Amino acid sequence: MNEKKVTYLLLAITERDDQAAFRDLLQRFSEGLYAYTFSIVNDVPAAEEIVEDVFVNLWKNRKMLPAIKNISYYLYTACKNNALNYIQKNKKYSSFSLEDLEENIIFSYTTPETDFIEKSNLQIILNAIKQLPPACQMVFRLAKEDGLSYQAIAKLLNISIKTVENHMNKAIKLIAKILYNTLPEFSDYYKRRAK
Amino acid sequence: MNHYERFAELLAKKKSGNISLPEQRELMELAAHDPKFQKLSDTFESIYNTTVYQNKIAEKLWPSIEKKINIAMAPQISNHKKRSTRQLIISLSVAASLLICFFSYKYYNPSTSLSKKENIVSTKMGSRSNLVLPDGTKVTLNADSKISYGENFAKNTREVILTGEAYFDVKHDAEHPFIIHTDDVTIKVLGTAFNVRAYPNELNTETALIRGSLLVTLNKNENQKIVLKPNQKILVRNERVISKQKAVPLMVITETQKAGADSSVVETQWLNNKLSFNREPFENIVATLERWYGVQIEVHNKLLLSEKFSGVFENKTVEEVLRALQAVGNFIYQKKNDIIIIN
Repeated sequence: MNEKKVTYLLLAITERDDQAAFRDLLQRFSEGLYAYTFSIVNDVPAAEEIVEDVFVNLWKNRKMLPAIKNISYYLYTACKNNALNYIQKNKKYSSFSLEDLEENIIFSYTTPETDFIEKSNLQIILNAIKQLPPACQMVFRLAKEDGLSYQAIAKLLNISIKTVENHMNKAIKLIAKILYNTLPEFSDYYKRRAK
Repeated sequence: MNHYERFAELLAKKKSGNISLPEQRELMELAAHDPKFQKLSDTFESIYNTTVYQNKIAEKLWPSIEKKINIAMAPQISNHKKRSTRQLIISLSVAASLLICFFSYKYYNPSTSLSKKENIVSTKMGSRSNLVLPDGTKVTLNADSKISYGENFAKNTREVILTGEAYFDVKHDAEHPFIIHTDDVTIKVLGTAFNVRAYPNELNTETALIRGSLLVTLNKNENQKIVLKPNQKILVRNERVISKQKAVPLMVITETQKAGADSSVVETQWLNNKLSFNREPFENIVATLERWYGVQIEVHNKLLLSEKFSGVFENKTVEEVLRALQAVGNFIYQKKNDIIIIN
């Protein structure tokens, strides 16, 4: 979904109380927000409840939506704050434990049952991204799917902008490498390479 | 470091927004000198601008969220103990009208969700994508489009929901009919290759058949079924778009249009990166350009909107297309802050 569509959805929600548009907004953001929230609280029901609360509050305050400059950052920050409150209240130890994340949580689109028989470039690459370390995947996802700036990502994950850059570079180099190896245009060149 | 490693490095810099002017030039030069790098860049962009996700979380949370927001919208119960009868009557009638509003919202947009868990692939403006469905069917998704299928895909039927435009090359499987749902039509595939165009802001949903045969059913009236043969296409009116034209017919069956010298068909030119218009009103051309190039265009010259243009553009930039149209159409365009303004 592109930014124009998100803007349209927000308008529909603010001006017409459009619940179908609100549901679309939920579909657009909930997966990413859940993965992020879970990485902080490490608890499925808690993460679900936080995402739910953030959206319910968004609806309650929908008249103020036009004042939000970046809805993506707003939603992620709201989840972060609620997640940190939860951690404090429950006296749990948290350190943005991205390394402990379950494999499929960040990019959960394929499961064994729906695995693709043949693969297009898109699918090969997305499968490869899933093999990257969780921190790398999370950064890549926040940048690619949710359009967050490196600065915003650094704030949300409590890491430096340089680290964000390194993760992104790693992911992009991996993609370039795969394309280089699988695009038919490069096949002659590939045969000549030692690796 | 070899060329491709440097190319990857530059791509990464471009994505982060930290690319310097000389580096940008270097990137363009690498791509210009070697079509392989251009292809790598294009494919990379296409992948970066395609989103693949599931709605698992959304489906799980929605019922509870929906309940909570509707409770929030109900009239507040007053704490005042003393109320006059007149006040009571007024608040009762307000409550009744709110109830009516709730019901109409609930039925307004019936969910076309296939199952609880869907796989969704969507493209942004200016980008298209190729994917392969679990049964081997190949789909090319045009810009600003979205396709989704449930976890039960290929159990009994192979069903997908489409918004936007896609070209399907369906794997033959008589045991599992392939069905495409769009807002206005349902298409059952009896053959193989065809193009479906169902953008929410266009006047019509258009289905053009290349090979095989298709059974098209109107969602508005399930008794209206049409079998399409090769080189036929059907246009079905989109009820959600208000048209300034006098009367748009509910449906029209015509032939696919040949595009000039080669025998390729206009409706699928986009697959070859060819932009093709055949007596298209400028209004539609503008919408297509916005999608194709991912740009924003404002037309201030309202008379221009209904004028018709024809042309084929292959691998041209948006400026080149506009310049060509400008010569014939008698308008001026300028670029202001990333928006193209046409006078």
